[in-house]
Amino acid sequence: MRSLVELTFLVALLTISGAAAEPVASPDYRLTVEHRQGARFAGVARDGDALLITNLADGRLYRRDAAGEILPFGPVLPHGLDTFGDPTGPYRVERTGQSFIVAQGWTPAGQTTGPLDHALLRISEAGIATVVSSDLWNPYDFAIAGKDFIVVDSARNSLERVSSTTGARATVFVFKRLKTSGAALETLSPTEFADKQTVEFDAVPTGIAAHDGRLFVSLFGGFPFLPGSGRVVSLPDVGTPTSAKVEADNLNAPVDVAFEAPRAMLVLEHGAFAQATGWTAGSGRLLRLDLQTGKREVLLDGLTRPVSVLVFDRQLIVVSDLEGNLHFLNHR
Amino acid sequence: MWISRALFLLMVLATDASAVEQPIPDNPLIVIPGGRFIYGNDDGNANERPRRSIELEAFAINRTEITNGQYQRFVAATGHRSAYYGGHPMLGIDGRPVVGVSFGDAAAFCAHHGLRLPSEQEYERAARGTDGARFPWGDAPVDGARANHGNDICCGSDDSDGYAMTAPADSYPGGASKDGVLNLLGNVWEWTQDAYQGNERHRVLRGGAWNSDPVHLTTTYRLAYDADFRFAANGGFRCARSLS
Repeated sequence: MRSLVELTFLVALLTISGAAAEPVASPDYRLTVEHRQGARFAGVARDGDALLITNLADGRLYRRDAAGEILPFGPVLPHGLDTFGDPTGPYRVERTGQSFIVAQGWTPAGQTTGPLDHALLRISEAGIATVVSSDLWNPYDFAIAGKDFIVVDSARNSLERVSSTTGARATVFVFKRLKTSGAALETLSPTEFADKQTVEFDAVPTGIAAHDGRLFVSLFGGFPFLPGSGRVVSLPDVGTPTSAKVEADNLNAPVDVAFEAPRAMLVLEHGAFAQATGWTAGSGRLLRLDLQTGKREVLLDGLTRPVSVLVFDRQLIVVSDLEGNLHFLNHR
Repeated sequence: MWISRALFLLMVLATDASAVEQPIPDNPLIVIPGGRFIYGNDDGNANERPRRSIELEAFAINRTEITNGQYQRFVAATGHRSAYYGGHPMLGIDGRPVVGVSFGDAAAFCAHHGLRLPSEQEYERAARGTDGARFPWGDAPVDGARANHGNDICCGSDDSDGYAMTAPADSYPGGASKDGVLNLLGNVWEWTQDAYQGNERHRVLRGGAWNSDPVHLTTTYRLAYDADFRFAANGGFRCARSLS
């Protein structure tokens, strides 16, 4: 563990503060919310007419059919809280041909590391799990790139190319630490930050989307989670790029990225962090950014601990959160 | 040698502990005599200066940092919120210092036991003795037998001292002060009752922690933080009582 602040902070996601009002959608959308008691929904993906969902609370994969019925499938995967107090388990799922690929997070605290931990897994239709690669630290999301997977490792702070046939791993890109003005942190600690020109913090990659020959990655600014310290960057989807292009900055802990249309990027902000009380309830947002004009719109506001966004089709966007909610945004 | 040192510590504890009421049975208060002592440091940051001799009344201070078990008993008795890392698989172990508490949490714990947080002056007197020693054990440099510290570059953990994160509150007897108080340097930063530069929003912590580099691991470094901040994995406390 490495930190550049004297008082060390470990927990990223667990604490929330305040009571959230109901989420509010843009007038262009009609919002419906489905809640499942006790669930901690994370990944959402499309499978034909169905929706695939991962649940960190029970380590299960779920399929929600067109009628709205939700049923589990596949094995119970490792799940629990990690040593930082964050929920870990099956972060993401996607169908690939006759099987499903799962990004399985690092080992839950207090559990012995098993073969399915910190791995990219393949789940057969029969529910049998095999390991594509466990040579990963904390695979949080992935994109499909030909016969390979580009995996977001949010512990290495890197993108890793994993062969779907051999499981071989190669680092594509490591995200450098970000900087901010020390003055921005003076209210937290006058002795540690007031006289510093800059303070560094981790650029933790979270969501990834392949679009128009590039990989778009949301960077969740690490502790102290300053407002506006997150960004979305892009890289070529081939080779080993040496730099990343900043596509959007001034974001609050972006946790996922998707595309609604060419150049119409959706960014899911986890929310605002208060030093005294933690993540503020209702501070998460779904934004649409026009990469050509720079215009930003709020499609969904008032989210609490959102995790994943899916463009299901031209009419429907789905957002999951750790409170057990699925938000369905239907274009009017 | 090891046994004789342990017996000496026990004797010190027995003598001092008998002088005051002990509201926390498994964490005795150690009596620190009143009198003049050296406070401040001309070689440190500007906010540590000047080094001077000041008078301080007698007080008593917990032998160890408050542990998870002691804090959990307080939570059970009062309904106060739990420590942020109380359930953490490493930081939440009983016998280790409680971390993840705000200034207010720490003050409430002490008040529940009829105690209070120590002042900065009391911390320094307990940690440096009367003659302004650099460390609780004297002027010999910090090493892994005396304190749970970090690596040389701020602010990463270091397990060369036996612990990657917090160590048991009663560990490092070789780093005890002459009065028998443990871990006044390293392990966890300790909240004091003092506001920083008169601003009560910021309270001062002292003593460095398991991830502290040599710059921060001194008995005079003043770390000021938002009093409401409760997410520090290396921020704890101990309590004190006036004896005058």
